[in-house]
Amino acid sequence: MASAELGRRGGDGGGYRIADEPRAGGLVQLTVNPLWPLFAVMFGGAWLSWPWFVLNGWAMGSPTRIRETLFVVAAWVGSVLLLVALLVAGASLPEGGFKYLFLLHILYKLGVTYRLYVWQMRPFQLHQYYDGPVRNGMFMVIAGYFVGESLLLPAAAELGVFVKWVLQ
Amino acid sequence: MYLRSGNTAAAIHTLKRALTQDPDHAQAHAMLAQCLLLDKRLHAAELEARIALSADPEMPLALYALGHISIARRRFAQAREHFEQLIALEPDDPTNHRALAQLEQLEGDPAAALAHLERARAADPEDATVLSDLADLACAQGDLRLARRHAEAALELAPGDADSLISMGKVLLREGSLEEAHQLVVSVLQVNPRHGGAIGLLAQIKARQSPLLGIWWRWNTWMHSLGDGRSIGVLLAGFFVYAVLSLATSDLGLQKTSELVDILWLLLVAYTWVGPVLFMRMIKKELGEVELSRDF
Repeated sequence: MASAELGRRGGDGGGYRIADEPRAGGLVQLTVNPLWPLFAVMFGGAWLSWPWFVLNGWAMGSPTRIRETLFVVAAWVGSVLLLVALLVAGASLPEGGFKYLFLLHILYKLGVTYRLYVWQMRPFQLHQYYDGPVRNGMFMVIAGYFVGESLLLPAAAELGVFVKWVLQ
Repeated sequence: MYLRSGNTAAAIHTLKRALTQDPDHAQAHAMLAQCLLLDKRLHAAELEARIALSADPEMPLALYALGHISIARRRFAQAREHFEQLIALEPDDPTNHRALAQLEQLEGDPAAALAHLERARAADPEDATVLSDLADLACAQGDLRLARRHAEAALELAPGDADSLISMGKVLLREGSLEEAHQLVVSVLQVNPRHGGAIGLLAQIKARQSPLLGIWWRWNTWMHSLGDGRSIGVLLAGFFVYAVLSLATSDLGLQKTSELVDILWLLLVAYTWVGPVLFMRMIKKELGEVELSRDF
């Protein structure tokens, strides 16, 4: 019967489970409001924000966690390809012109981050509704800012500005 | 009963228990879809409606839910398909014509919406909700006298009907009678604290009382109407315009202008963060007062 295929019987007590109900695993204690990974891209960079979104999705048992994970993988690939394209296109620009082109890369990263944020807000609200634990992500954002600025991004810059831009 | 009082949580809980006993109960799946739609859990609502339809492809409740889910997802063509199928199945049910009228209005065709509402009225002239929809349509078109007439007729037929009260509230708001509109909203929220129309009207009243927060409310309503993808696009476009302006003015040596652009942008960002918090606090305070006054 269709409902046997589409509907779900939950693992917790065998009651009927609605498709979007979170199925939190062992990482549930690490769940944060998706607002924090969103802030992380502004204060730390994609290196902190995107993996954090993936972790958060798995922690709260987001029904779209596999899609989110694949999206982040594709977004990294897209980020590298976009940067290469921008560098090629920017080679013929006059001095000072590349920073305008580079805005497209910033927009791309913000777009990916907003998309992840929108995907995670609904399951997060359900997670809260079912009294799931929520950690404060502020300290992670602050720590991420200092680690990024003083350690990670300078180290990445040593490897090449391209690496830094990808991680930023 | 739970749904009438806006208690979707209790309704969902009851339906889940029913589905635990009988996972193939198509009617329960359709009702669950309706509840999830009210909670804006569109993905799950659509899945439940499709489960119901897989058991009974012509179940009106599931088609109705799926039509409204399609509207919520801005898939108007699909919504039209479902509602037309529904009307073919139950041509004399005014609810189905009302659903199609709502869709026509969203697609910017008030004449077609009116035609469907007239059909709904012909199907049941005593249906207050149809008159309430007619009032809303007239109000949206600026014909306040006609809107008032329909709203009064609806309230005569069903004095306590929430939708009719809200329609009258909208007329009063447009007429500038904020206090009277507010009283009607409160009377609806006392029975159903989660009535979407009442909360929307309350927000409009509050926005009128505070013009600065009113700007945010209108902006927010517009962004919601765009859907997720487009609203993200608008935000990114806004940032892009700011960034280009900031860089260009700086490159042109207009340091003061560049600083001004940065400050204006920061003020806008701060406003969009603080505005919703203040606005929601204002609404929640009001809703909290309403809930405290429940004596039934």
